[in-house]
Amino acid sequence: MAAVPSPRATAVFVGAIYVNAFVLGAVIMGYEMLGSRYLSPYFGGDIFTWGSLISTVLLSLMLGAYGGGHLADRHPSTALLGAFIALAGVFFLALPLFADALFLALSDSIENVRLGVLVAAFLLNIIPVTVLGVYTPFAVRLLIQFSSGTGRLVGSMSAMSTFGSIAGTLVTTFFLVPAIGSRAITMLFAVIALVSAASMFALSWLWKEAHREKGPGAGAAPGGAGDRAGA
Amino acid sequence: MTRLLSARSAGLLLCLCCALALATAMATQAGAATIRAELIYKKESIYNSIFVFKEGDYRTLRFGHNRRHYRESIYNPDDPTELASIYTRYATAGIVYPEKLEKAAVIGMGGGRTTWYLAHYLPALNITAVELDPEIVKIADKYFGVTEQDNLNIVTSDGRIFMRRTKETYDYIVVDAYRGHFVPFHLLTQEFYELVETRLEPGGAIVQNIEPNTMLFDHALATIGSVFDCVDLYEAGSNIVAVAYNGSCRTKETLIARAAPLQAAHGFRYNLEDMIRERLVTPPRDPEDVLTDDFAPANYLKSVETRKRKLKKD
Repeated sequence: MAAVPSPRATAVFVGAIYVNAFVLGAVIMGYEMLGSRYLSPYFGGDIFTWGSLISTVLLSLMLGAYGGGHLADRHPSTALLGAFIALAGVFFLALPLFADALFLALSDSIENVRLGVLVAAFLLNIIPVTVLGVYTPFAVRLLIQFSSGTGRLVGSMSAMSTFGSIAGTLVTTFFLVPAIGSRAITMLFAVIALVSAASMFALSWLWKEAHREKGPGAGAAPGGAGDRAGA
Repeated sequence: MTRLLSARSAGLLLCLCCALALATAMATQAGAATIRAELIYKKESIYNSIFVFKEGDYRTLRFGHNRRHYRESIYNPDDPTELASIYTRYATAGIVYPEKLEKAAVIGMGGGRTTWYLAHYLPALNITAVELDPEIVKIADKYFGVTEQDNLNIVTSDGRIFMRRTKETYDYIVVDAYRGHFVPFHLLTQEFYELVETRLEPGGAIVQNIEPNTMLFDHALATIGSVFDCVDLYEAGSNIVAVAYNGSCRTKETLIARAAPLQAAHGFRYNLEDMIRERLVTPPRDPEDVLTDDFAPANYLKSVETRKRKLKKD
């Protein structure tokens, strides 16, 4: 192994990856719950709205997980992961600017309401949830070099993300929706995603700095040191 | 994929458990009636658990939530003009307001008592009744004597989508969309009432039933008042019925003067003039309370009970 990071740097890196798994898990489910508030005025708030939201969130997570896993093997870069999260943040920032016009146009142009809500939910979720869905496989890839067991790592990462999802669901439905408007909640998610992305860029930079102190040849990003899965 | 599914189902399960607990708590507060009645028909639709009971002389339409039942409609098969729910009588009193009575829409037909009563007494009024649940439309036909007729057209649709898509304008619009004790938030926002306003004939009026003993009352009133020039209130049993319209606000005397000839011409069972005399003084409204598509925690507000309002008679 070329990289020999200090135990402290490693602990910060690993901890930050887990914290972000929690935070982004919360944003994904919070955003899904919020989706009904965007769609109901135009398509009604019935079971088809929820079916559309849940299926398109799952579709996006599926695509994100698959693509993210493959990309992570080729480019296991913390900064690249940060760029994906930043994209979700930018989408959230922009959403209130076009959401009403988009959903009104869809509800007026698609006669079948159930098809309309499915298309609307797809457009609502496909960009931000896919790029956030990249996180878990990427995180596993970044941490695998510090892990003594792949099963334990994948399980812990899933549990952390799910824990975040539980928190995001409850906080959004029971506290945020009764307290502030949907656009304000979207802005909150945007800020959280952008802070998370910034933390990824910071980690990437700090990691390189940590290695630079160790001397030349140790500057590889985490994960770049070789795949030790199963070792 | 397994992770994703387990992550999501775990999240949903916890959410459901909490929602269930909350719903139970709210149901207990709402003090739903316990039934001692004979079940005639039961149907699980995609929207509701629907029950039709025989209760003495009456047939009732109830929606079930957590083993409690919420009465949506009450019908006397031997006396179909009887409006046993007092608020539905006041929903018919609002016909005094429109300048003409050619077309009416009812958003949230349910068992169709208001709809049927209006269609019965006003054969020249063309009524479009909108109901979300196709099973309810069937039940209204089979058990509540409400079927399409010359002056009654029934549409199965979400109320807001219907309002958005209809090319018609109406003189009188009744908004009565409840699901059990839940209120679909998108039928209670400023944007919704603005849409309704665009489908209202000049000189027309809308009528809406509001429960007065939750926090939602002030918000609903403020929201309606933010769109329409005037909101008049009537105490209707345990509910308050609001009539909203544009233009100059009517005095009680002008309304009574309009009610008398209408009553004489059509012989309504529930005397228009008597009901109009029950008008209340509309309390001041707080613009801060207006609900919008962006912020409308309707079910939260409805779950917070307040003291029943004592509104002064006009």
